Amino acid sequence: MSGGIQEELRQFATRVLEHRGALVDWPVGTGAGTAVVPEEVAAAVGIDDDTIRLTDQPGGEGWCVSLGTDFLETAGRLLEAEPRTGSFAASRLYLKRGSLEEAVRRAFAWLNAKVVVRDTRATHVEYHTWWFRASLTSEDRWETRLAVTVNSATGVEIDLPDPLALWELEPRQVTGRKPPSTYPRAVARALPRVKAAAEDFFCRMDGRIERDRRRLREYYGALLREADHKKPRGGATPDPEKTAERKRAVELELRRKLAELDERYAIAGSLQPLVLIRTVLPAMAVDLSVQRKRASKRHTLYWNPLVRAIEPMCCGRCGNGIFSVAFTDDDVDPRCADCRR
Amino acid sequence: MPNLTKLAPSAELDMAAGLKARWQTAGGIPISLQASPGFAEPVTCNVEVLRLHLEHARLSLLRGFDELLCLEGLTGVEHFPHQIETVRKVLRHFRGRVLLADEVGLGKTIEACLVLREFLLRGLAKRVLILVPTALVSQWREELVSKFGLEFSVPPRTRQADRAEYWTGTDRVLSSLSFAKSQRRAAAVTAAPWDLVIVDEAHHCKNRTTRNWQLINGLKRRHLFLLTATPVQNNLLELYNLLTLLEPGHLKTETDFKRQYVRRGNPRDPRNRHRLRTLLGEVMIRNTRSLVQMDLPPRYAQTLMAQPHGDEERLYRLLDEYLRRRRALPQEDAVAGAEIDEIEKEDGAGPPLSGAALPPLGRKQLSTLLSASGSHPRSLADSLERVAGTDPDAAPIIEIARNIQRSAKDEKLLELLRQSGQDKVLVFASFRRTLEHLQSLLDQAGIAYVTFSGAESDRQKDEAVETFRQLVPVMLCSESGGEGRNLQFANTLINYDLPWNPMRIEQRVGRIHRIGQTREVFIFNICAAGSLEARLLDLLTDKIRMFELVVGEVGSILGNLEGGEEFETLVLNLWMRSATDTELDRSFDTLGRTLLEAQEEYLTTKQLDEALFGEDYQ
Repeated sequence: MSGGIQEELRQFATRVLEHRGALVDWPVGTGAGTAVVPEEVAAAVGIDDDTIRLTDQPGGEGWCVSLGTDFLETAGRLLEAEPRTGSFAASRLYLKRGSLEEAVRRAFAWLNAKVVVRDTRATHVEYHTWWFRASLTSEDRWETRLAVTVNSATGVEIDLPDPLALWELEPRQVTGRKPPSTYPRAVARALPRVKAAAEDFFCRMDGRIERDRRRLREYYGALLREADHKKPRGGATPDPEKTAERKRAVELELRRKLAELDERYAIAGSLQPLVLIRTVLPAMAVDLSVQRKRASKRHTLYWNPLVRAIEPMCCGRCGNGIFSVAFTDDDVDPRCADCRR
Repeated sequence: MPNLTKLAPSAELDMAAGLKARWQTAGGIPISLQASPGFAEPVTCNVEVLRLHLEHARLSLLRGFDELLCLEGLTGVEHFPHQIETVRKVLRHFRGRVLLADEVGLGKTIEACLVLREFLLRGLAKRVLILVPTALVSQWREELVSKFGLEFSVPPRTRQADRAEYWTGTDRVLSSLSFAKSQRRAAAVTAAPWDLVIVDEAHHCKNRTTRNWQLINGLKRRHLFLLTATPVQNNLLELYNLLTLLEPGHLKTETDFKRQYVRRGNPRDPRNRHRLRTLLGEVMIRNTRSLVQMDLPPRYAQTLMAQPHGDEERLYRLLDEYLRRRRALPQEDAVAGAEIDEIEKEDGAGPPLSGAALPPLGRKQLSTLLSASGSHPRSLADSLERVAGTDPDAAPIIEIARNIQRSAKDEKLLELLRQSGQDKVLVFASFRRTLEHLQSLLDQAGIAYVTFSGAESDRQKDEAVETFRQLVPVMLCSESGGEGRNLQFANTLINYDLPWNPMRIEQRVGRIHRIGQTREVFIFNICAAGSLEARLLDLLTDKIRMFELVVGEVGSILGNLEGGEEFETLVLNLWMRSATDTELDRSFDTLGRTLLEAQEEYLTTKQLDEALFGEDYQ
């Protein structure tokens, strides 16, 4: 195992233990260390002592910090009870002042409605950054980790920088009502990204199954041809019934093998949420009045201080972020060009 | 340029079905993706907690890439570069379907277990079935646990194993092929889906008309490893049959294969060697000794017969009479040929027997007592006391055994150790009580030693090895002693007692006769004249010349034995079926002939395979 990974594991083990109240002494560059741990941590690690030895050497005494042991499983257990949802704010971000009418005009194309900017005001918006682990299993396995950030007010996906890396980030106690659930929307946004990222994996599986199918068909095809030409011993005339029976058996076997192949290659995937980061950011809200035929409706756009731009609207059908916006006749709901068709 | 994935309309997220999406690849492979339920509570303001969750996930993903995970956390496994190379090849190029055909002794089992571990760690396999010859079941189970930390269930010899629920409900099964293929179970075994199937000594599946072949062919499995050092025993069609199990059609049909690759009149001689080699190279790996430079110096064995006198002689006579009185007839014994689980259950853990109407001793009890009698009277006394309890017939035997201070074997051992001077000597004994006795024997004789019994901590073991290397001439070892440690600086081994299973004897020898040994190895076996061990030793040394074989060959020979019994079971059966010593001698002669035939079969096959494959498939 490379030294780089080992060092990452050492740091991770130290952080997990310290987080759970342990005193850890494991200097950089050394293969072993010690930790004085609370009782429940010792129990989780499976060591009956409050001082545990940490080592990167598999097979040694103590808790072996290595990818090849059950270290990550144990660390997972230590983190299991820890909250996975974080609540923060970054209220000190710079907010653009003044009217955003011109910016809206430049960014958006209104395809079938009359849109007027009514008001521009400072507000706060909560963003939900969902981290996922996606995995696909077939003859091989593919995995990745991805994050999707959704504006909880509009449901539109925003390409936001990692909130945990913001220096302005501050804790925010949650009070009041629950935020709207953005999880289904985040899953829906994660899906096409998983598809795109796993494209090579899909191609590889397609190539493999095709090769295996061809080989099976050639083999059993040849067996069928042989069955037709098989001569019984002693030069007797072939029994057509027996030949037909043999061919049926071969066909059945081919079907069974092909079905097994399909079963083996079928791809099962999972999308597992890892962490939700709720971040309240200051934002400029731009209120719009939209007139479509006889119907009219108010919509709000947001100027985001982290991306320093106005966010797109969210297509009410597919959820895509859109700047070329059409509206439905009755509800005056935004649609992308595809959904409008 | 890759094809774009075809997104079927159903590719969209189905909220009603619980955040599930279905679509298919361009080639038509169905994909289903299920999102787990989301979460919201509890909430934290601690950035570190969230970072730890994310870091945990990131590190978990690292497992899926280039590093071999199977090497981490192994204890007592000495792995060699050719094995690691093989693991990589199986993972990268063979897609988990391979014929591992290394020459004997190069560690096919280790290779298979490494890949198995890799599959398990990566989540590529969960349900695993290992099929091996009956004689190797216990060896496999022990190695899986002690070296790889993998627990496997050995099917019990009860009706439970005939039911489909056992095979579908147990994720890791280790069974003998003969047990799994029986008519009562084959349907249940083949109906259960397996992620990985490993077949050891796979040449038993060379003939497609046999139940062995049909069982493997009928298994629903993703991955398949076939292990054999001798894929071709009689003719090339056997190879064809094996590879058809792995990849049907890889060698086309049998007629095609014969036409293209088998010389008329000589089914052992291939035509179109180059083409055949290319095809075989896609599904077979074969490491040879010469290529991996694993030729070891020769080893020599000598049997030292100790002649018991006086009380000791009387002890063995009385014990023999006692055990024969209390043995069960083999046909009455329900566990003849039982595999490990059941034998263990019969261990003499129950309340001690007493009174006049004593039931026959169980097989495990008998074999424990017979083995103890081949070790030292002290061990025998302990075992007999535990098994016989207050049986008045046993009491005098126990008393005699306790009073024997120095046995005939002790004298032989001391003689040997005094002759060996400062040479490093490993002394093996199976029983803990015997080890304790040997410690006091050497103390009294003023011979310095260390003990390595498996009960010590890792640090103590390291210290013991270091002391043995630098300071003392003798290391007293239990069965597990020295496992995984480099002891090649010693080249002499004394078997104070002898396990009945030749594979265990082989393991003992393997502690010093292994890679890194540069000197000739000397093995001394001490046994009491007329004992069961003496007969066993006679069988192994005179008939198959076991101690001169290459490491691993014993396993191949035992694998060729017909029937569904482990070697220890065979030995015990012989003893139980023989009323007199003459009958016992005759039975051992018969077993010797069977072993010899198995060895001849192995040697013929080995020659053929060497000629056929050479060094083309590393």
